[in-house]
Amino acid sequence: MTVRKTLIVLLLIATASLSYASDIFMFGEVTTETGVILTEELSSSMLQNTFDLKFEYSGSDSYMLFNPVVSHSMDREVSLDVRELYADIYFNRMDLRIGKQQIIWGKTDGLFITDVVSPKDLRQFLLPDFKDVRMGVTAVRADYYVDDITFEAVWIPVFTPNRLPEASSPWNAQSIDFSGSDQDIAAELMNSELFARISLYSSNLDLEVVGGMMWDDEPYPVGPETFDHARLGVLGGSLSTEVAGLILRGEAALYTGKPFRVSTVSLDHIEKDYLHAMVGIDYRSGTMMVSTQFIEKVILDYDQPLVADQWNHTMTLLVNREIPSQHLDLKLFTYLEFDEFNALISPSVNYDLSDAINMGIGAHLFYGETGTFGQFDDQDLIHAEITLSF
Amino acid sequence: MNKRRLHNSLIVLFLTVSAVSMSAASGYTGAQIMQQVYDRPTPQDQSGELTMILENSRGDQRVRTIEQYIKEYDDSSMKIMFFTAPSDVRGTSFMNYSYDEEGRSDDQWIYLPALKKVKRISSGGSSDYFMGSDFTYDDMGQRTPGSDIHTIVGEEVLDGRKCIMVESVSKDTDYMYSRTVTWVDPESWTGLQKQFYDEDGDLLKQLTVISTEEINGYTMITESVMHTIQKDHRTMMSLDELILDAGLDDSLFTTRTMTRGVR
Repeated sequence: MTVRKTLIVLLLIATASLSYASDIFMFGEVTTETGVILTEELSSSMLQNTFDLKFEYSGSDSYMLFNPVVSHSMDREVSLDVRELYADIYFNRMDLRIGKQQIIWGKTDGLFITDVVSPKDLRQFLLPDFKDVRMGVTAVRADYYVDDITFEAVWIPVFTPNRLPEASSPWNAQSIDFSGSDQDIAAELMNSELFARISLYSSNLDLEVVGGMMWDDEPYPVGPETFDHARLGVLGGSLSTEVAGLILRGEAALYTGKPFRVSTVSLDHIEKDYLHAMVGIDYRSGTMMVSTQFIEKVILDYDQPLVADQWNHTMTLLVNREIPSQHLDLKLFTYLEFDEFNALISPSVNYDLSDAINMGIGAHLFYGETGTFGQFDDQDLIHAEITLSF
Repeated sequence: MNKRRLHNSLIVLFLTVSAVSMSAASGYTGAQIMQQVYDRPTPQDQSGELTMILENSRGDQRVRTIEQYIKEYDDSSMKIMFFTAPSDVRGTSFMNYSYDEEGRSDDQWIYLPALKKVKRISSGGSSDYFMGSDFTYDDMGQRTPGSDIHTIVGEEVLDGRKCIMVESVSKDTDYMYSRTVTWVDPESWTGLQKQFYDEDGDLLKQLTVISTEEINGYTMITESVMHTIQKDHRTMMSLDELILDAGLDDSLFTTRTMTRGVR
């Protein structure tokens, strides 16, 4: 293990030294964060040091990014993840990006409707910053520009599923062992994922239309501790516009071929199509921002009982107030699920001690008995972090 | 008695103001002076590095460095900004389309590299403060002279330059300032100092031009300070590496440029 740590340090030092010897620019941040679950024992859930480095080279017709992230946690060894490593080539009307990259689509905040190209790291549920939740995928991406319209195509030759919590994790409510769930997807051409997007940004309206053939990032059980991934089709779109000082947003996607469990006592599944849609409003006044979203998920042709309900209603609320004169940023983000009401309430306060140092405290408070958030009702968490940017 | 005294005072005030107006403006009215300031030649496009130093009452400073590109059209303007420092906002970009058309709000988008998507944001109001500074969007723009009633209220020498003081009161009763007073240098038709008064008539903040430069025949304000007196918070703003009338292409002001920067 010492060898591994040494190799990681040597790799980083070697890469960092390149930034002094060439046109490579280095920046990043170091974060120390701790979280405590509010049980009687006040058990510590998280103690993590993260070294998030970015090396970038920028030329007149090219760009390269290397974003290694070194983490050291209380219960894990030192780990090195490469969040992104890609090269861009710029042509007159086209941009080409090749390599490991995060691809983010859609207009929804905090939930994923058409934003399904990059898988998610759910080892700590949806609690980390979304830049840490989204994972990079190895892909070839081409953007072609015609006036205000962009045509985009993405080819992902190797499937990467969601990263799920270990069976012993507090964020794995049913203690399911997901290991090996992606073993069946061989790296073959026929198993590629393909996505396309047409987007328009104009003075009155921003619009996206997306489509794709993909693997479901979420595994489904086919046997005891055996999981598979389904091939899905997706077609959707999103829009945003400003009306009377309000930003109105909408997004919807139709998914085909998603397996749903028929009963809790068997592993039988049936494939159904489902619709996922959102409408949202953003209001801003000075340094205050209020944003709310209403999200519906409906299983189509629901003609027989399934474990999942036909309808799922979710709402989010974001209230954000910046106080620049005091270098403070106050935020409240809430998920509310209305079927068997459950919620996640996340208040936070951040203070800029200087241009380079930011301190934050916050909480993740779960409410309810069941549901996406209620299942973690006994996992209320307070957290604090300090970040040094350079 | 009191009425008579008030009447006499008003006559004296009127004569004083008239005398000041005639002597100071050399024949110009307040409205004409502000029109001259408004009509001062400005470049069709410009680029440069904007540095904002934000300082609160405790003397704590925050430095924001922005690379900005602006292009003016007959009835609109486009602006794109790239944050280069501090490092935690590096890569963030902001684009604004502004229209002269009455009642038409700006279109604004922001690109946050952590979110990796361009997001339309509400332009809010012109009374919103720009990026936590002491400047509102309205303060940073060119206010149309016809929006206010202008009166010459005096003369004063600033940095050796004899300035005409013009008071401007908005025709819009809901405007965020009850009045402003601008010190105009008639040699260059540049406002060198401006005071902003709040709805109660109290002095809210003061803009002071620290330096101007003649570039390509244009008088450009390159350094200024806005001091919010009521909160004792100030923003020092400076413009460096100014390039004017370079013929910036329209394709610069697109979401493509926001995500990949200027090439």
